[in-house]
Amino acid sequence: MEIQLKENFFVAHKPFRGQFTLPDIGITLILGNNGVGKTSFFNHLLNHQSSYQLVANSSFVSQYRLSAVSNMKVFRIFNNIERDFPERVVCSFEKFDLVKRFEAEHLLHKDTNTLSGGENQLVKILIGFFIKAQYYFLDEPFQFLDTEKFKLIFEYMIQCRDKSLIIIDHRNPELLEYAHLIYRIENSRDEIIIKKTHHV
Amino acid sequence: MFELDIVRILFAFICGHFLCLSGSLSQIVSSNPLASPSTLGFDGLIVLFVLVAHAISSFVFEVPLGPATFVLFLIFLLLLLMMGKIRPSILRQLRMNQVILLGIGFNLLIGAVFAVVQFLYMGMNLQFPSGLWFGNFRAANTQIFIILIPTFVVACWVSWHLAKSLTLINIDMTMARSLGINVSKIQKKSLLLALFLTGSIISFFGVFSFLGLILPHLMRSLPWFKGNIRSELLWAPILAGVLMGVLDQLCYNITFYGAELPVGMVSSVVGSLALVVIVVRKVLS
Repeated sequence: MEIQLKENFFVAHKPFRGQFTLPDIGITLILGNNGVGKTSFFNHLLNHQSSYQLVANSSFVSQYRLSAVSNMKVFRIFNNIERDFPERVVCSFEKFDLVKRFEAEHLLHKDTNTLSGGENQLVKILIGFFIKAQYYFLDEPFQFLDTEKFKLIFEYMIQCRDKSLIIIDHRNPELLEYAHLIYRIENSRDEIIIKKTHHV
Repeated sequence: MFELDIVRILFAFICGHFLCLSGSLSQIVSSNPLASPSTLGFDGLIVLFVLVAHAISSFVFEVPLGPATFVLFLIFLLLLLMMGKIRPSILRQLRMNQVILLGIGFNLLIGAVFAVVQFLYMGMNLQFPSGLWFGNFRAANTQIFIILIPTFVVACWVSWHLAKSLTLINIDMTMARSLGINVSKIQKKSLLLALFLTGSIISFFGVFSFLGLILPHLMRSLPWFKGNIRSELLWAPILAGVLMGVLDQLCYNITFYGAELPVGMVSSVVGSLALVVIVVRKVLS
């Protein structure tokens, strides 16, 4: 899917330009220096889902911590999503499979406000994959994760051959090896550009 | 011997319900446990209208303070909605933490203006509504029910409708947006409702300091409402209203040398203590 960025999309007062192709399958990596606008790019896509035909077709995992004002157990999060959006969640078998695969059973009965950084990240990724979608946008999904959890999640992502994973990351060289498409966001004097640097 | 004043009980119930709901809505949509009608500046805004209404009554023509304040508040709401339609970008650019900071600053400003105006009125030997800062139901008129009861029905209906979206917004805003929820629209609706509920109470009964902050935390400490946004929006305000009704009747019947303590004063002291106890217990556990 070709994504034509809106003309009024600005990051730090600079126009964000370039063409972005959203592949239907495979891993797409988005690279860029700190503060260049990677998260802003994701937020732009998130806020304009209907314009970019992403409604009911995408799942976004942000880099920010889950912070519920009304503290709840993790399993209640899944129950609430399943109850209110039954058409947007994976089947029960897949749900249990995900929890088992990521070794997250012990987290289900924990309060959201008592999760550590890594546990919080794991729950966010679980929620992200719990939502049924073709496109998964993951903003720095591996931050705070230990080596074991990183391997589990990375292996799962490689096996998602029928889905499109768009990942912002800049510290895992393994991703470079497995990415089908790599985009780089660069900051020039007058504008910010996203451009394709690698295609398998 | 205890006397029960049914009208006052109903007023107190509605007050507790509105303030608890308004506080819950503010905290959930801003993802900030310190958000409340007080910290968002809603209290200060309505007090400003009280000052204007009182000035009109003192120097132009006499008007009943409560209804006049409410009318000014409605005019302001209409202007706000029109501004939202004409220049939506102004409201869109404000982030939630900026709104909270603005609200706190605005409340402090109005508090200072109130003190100055009170001083000037005393200098001119004019009557001033000093008791405004401690809400009570003593002088309330039953005709106010014409406004409060429909507002109560609308508040229950709107919060029931918003509960599904607010449950997900409470968990994670990005995830809520992923599922197609228009988060900014829900935030605006919720805050408008919170503002309207707070305005209704303060216009007719005065300020109940920080009840909008304290009551949601108190309710969430109870097992039936913890982690359950639906219950928090539908049933917790009802329980808060009942508690407020009981407290008001205690103030009505237990007087201090014949003088009735304003329930707003008592609820602020009792509620603040309760909040401190809850937080300390959480920390210790």
